[in-house]
Amino acid sequence: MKKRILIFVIFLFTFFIFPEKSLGAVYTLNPVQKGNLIEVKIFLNTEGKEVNALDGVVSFFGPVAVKEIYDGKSKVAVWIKKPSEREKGKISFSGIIPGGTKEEGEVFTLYFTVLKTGKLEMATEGTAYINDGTGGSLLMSETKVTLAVSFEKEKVDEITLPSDTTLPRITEKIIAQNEAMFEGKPFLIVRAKDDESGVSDISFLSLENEGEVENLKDDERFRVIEIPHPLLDSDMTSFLYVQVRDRAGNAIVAEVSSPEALISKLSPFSFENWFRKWWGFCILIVLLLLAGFFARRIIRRHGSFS
Amino acid sequence: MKFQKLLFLLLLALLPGVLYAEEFTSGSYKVKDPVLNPGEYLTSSTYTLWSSIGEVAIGTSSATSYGINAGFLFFPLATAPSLSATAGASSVSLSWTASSGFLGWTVSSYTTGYSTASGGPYTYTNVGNVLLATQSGLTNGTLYYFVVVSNDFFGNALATSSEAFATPTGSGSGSGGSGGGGGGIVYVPPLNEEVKECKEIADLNCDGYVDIIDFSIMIYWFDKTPVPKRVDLKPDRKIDIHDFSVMAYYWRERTRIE
Repeated sequence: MKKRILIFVIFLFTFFIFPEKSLGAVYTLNPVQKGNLIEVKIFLNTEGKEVNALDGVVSFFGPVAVKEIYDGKSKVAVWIKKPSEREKGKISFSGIIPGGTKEEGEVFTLYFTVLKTGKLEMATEGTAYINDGTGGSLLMSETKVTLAVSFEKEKVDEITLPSDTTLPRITEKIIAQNEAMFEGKPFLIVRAKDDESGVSDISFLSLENEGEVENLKDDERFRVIEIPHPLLDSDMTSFLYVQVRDRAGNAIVAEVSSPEALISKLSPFSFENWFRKWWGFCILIVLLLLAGFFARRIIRRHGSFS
Repeated sequence: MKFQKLLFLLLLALLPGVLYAEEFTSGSYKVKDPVLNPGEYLTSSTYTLWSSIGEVAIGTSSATSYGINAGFLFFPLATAPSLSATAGASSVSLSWTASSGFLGWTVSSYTTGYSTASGGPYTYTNVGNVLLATQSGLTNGTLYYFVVVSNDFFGNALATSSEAFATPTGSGSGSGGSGGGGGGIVYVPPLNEEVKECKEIADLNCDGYVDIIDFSIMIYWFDKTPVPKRVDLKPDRKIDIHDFSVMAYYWRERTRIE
């Protein structure tokens, strides 16, 4: 009897001595195996607190490899770091939710391919940031999930991701300029959205001659860029295009600007840009001054032109 | 023998309990999750105050020449108000969110401070227990920085807001700033100096909106040093996700492309 009481007392003490830290939000994992594909939805549960930014790491250990990461249905509107396996076995990410949210919602969906039968262990950690304008943060509770995975030999070629048939949308394409950024050169800002698989990459093409947007789709000259992307001097006299591709490979191309539009709207604060815009007038003024100078000399020497 | 082992386990379990205080209560107060080192309280260019040195302690007994704080102490603490500033003619209207006190400590009044230099020194005025105030007598065209401090009943400062800034204008219209433009080149005003048209925190290109342009500017400065003053939204001389969180709070966008 005494021992039972003692055990009960120990239980009580351990309960009160090692309380759970008061944390504000949590990532939850919802893994499901479909053939040799494992789908893991990562949800944000703010536990009633209003947050507007988050970061985190999903760690995994087991006989799997990352196939794809879909973020088209994410609560995160703008990624600072898109979810990606930057370090082996760790998917890291950060982004903002403008205006904040209290509602539970998807952050992204991970797709793993099963390499062999075994045990998949996953854990999340992260920080959520309070929507109060101070940038204050909440340490999130850790989540751990273990899943028994089975490799199905006969389904090895049947790894199909959910379909995505819609094109991504380019919602913003802006050229901006600031003296302190990119050595004062103009830079390109593009914002795009894909409601299904999510935006995979944004690429850029600068052409001397105007091209047809439809014909430029999947053009090999497009190169993937980070946003913001600095423009070269040669870009300022070229036709600029961007291509946005989603995770399923659907792509859309849009023209950003033409040389005329760029030169007419360059910052008036830069002498270089001012000269580029007004060089024709500059030359004309110089020619007029020279003509005036010679005319004056002729008049002085001969009294008149005749 | 088993019982002795059990007793030993119990003692082991008790040991951390002695080291980690969890909660104190009495008939008149409750200390929940006491924090001995409450974290970074104040930062300036030359020092960071990490402890609660100099805070007013509750339950202080005093003598003619010294005060003694006996036992476990808890300190007045309140959430920082979130301040916004709107420019007017020779004046700036200030509004802020209510500051909430903890541990039964209540906010009784607010003090506004203004300065022409970021970080102060500020000229303070007690405005009472209100959430709006107007600072008048300012010079048009000069950028002013503002803070609001929540005070307890005794006038002790409990919490200070982040800095807000605004430039009073002659017309009093508080115009929406320069730049912007619909689809051309957006000129971003200098980021390291005062811009009189730029009145809203996080609106880095001063177009009246906090959107993807401002976000992209912030991304450029992410992990770079030194950081321009206007980009460092949570002033700590670095750009990290805390600054993005401040930006997300003020986010207000327009659709540029249909």
